[in-house]
Amino acid sequence: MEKLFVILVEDQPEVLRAIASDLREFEDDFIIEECQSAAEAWDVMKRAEERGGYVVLIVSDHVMPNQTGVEFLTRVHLDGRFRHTRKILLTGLATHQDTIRAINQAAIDQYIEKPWKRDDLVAKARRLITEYILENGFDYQSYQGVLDSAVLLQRMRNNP
Amino acid sequence: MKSRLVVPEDLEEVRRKYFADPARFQSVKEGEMLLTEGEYNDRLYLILEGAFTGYLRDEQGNNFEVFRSRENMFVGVYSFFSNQHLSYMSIVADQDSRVAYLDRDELPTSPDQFALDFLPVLISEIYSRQLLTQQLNAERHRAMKKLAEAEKMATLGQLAAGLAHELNNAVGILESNTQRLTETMDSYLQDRKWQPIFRKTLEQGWESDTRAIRARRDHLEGKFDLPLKAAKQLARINLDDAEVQELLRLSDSELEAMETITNVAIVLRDMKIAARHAAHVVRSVRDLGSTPAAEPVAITLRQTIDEALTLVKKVTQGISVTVDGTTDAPLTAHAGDFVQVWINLIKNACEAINLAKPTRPTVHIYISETPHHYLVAVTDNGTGISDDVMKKIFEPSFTTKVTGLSFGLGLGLSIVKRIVDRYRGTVLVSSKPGEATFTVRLPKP
Repeated sequence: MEKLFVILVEDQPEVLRAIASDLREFEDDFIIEECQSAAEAWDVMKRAEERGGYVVLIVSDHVMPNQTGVEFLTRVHLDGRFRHTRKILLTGLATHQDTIRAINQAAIDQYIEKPWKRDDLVAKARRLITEYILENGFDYQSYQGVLDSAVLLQRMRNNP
Repeated sequence: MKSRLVVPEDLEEVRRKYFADPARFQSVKEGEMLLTEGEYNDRLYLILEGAFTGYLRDEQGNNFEVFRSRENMFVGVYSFFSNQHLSYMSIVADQDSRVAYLDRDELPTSPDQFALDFLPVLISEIYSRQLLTQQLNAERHRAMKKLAEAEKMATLGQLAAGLAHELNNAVGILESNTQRLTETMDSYLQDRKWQPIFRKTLEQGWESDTRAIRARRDHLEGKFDLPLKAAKQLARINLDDAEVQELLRLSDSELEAMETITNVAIVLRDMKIAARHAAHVVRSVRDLGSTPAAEPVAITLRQTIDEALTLVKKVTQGISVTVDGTTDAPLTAHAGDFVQVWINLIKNACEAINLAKPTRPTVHIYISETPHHYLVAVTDNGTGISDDVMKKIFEPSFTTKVTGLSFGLGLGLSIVKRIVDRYRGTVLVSSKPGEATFTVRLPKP
């Protein structure tokens, strides 16, 4: 089976651990990579891609030293290798300007405010992962346990 | 604005011509009134030595200062030259003084010559009074600003105290319940084989460097042929290969139990750290407006620095922090006070470093002593401090952190100064581009 990656980027270790444990239910089917900086995340993604893996979803904090989440996600968006990667910006403090840039330049799929609710984060991640799986022609049946049934159903209705 | 005394070149000439007659010299004792507001005067006085202040009386009968005159300045100018010859203010000697005067009716020269001689004097007189008015105005402006600032701080202080009180209770409950939960769990695990690993996780935490975890995970995955998920969990707990080997003898359900227990331990640890951090923030805000109640104890500054460093570990990540010196600096104090001082200085240092991004980010803390003082110097190789910032650096609510997403209350250095003042010490700052040093100088016990 193909290797599918979920990348988490957050500079504060305790917060990073909290996000990771909230998304633990995806760990059986996806490789969840915790990263403390945008640079580290980029290295992990490049390596995953070089080894034939797929980066399905990124959940990134915004306020981080060196490179902000929006800068990082913009870089991801502009890179052809990660054209289909879904992106969630998870932030407690973004200016109006940052938010506009997140949408226009980084083309994020979801914006989640801190403090986040576990169920909300999981539901949004699940929906984006499902979209990715379907869009890229992976065998959704092998991931059925973690996919969003509403999205699946909708898809089946549209393509009987 | 500096007050400027304008002495025209022709003053000597005027003095020689009009104010040289010792018969018209007069001594004025300190506090004595030379001219009285509203009273007749037809004399022009030149101050030979001493100083005078001009006062006006307001509707409430209060005197307020209008100008000061010193040596080589004139008083009685208005009443002397005006038609009414009435003094418009009272002139009082600030100290024992000597003046020379000129009677209007006994001019030693023709009126035309007199006017010619006195024109520059008059202009200079008007000019210097004008300057003084401006100066007083500026002072008043500054005073008003200070007052507004003080009011702002008082309001902020009240708000902060209220907030601190509310949060203190909440944080206190979180902190003590976390502690209780940890102890309950520990005693539940008593004498079971999981207790050591629970305690180890609790004390050391998980490895927090995600790159290190990843490398270790990949190593364990290859070496022991483990599922990635299990390898990751083991990599986090900082176990060596032998310990991992030992654990692998366990059954699946036992491994699951281990995972649960380490997860619980790490959650408890993170909660404790977060609660302590919150408590610290609350305390710093509250301490802005109060003095500590507990008795000071014997400590060393070195200890307080070490404690501060453990509390700001996250901030100093990626920065090399060294502490050395010639003494541990024993003294009697509230440890928390100095911990707070160092936390603020170290945080500032790290912020300057994060802005400048030097290739080798370093904060160096050096403790030394002189016969009567301890000196603690905190030096960073960050941006350095510009002259503009330097002027305002200790003002409360002055902050450089206003752009983008990082903003501060601007209370850090004013807290530092307050605390150090309380110990009768001083805070010195010196900087050049690419370096800044804050030195705290404290009297030895």
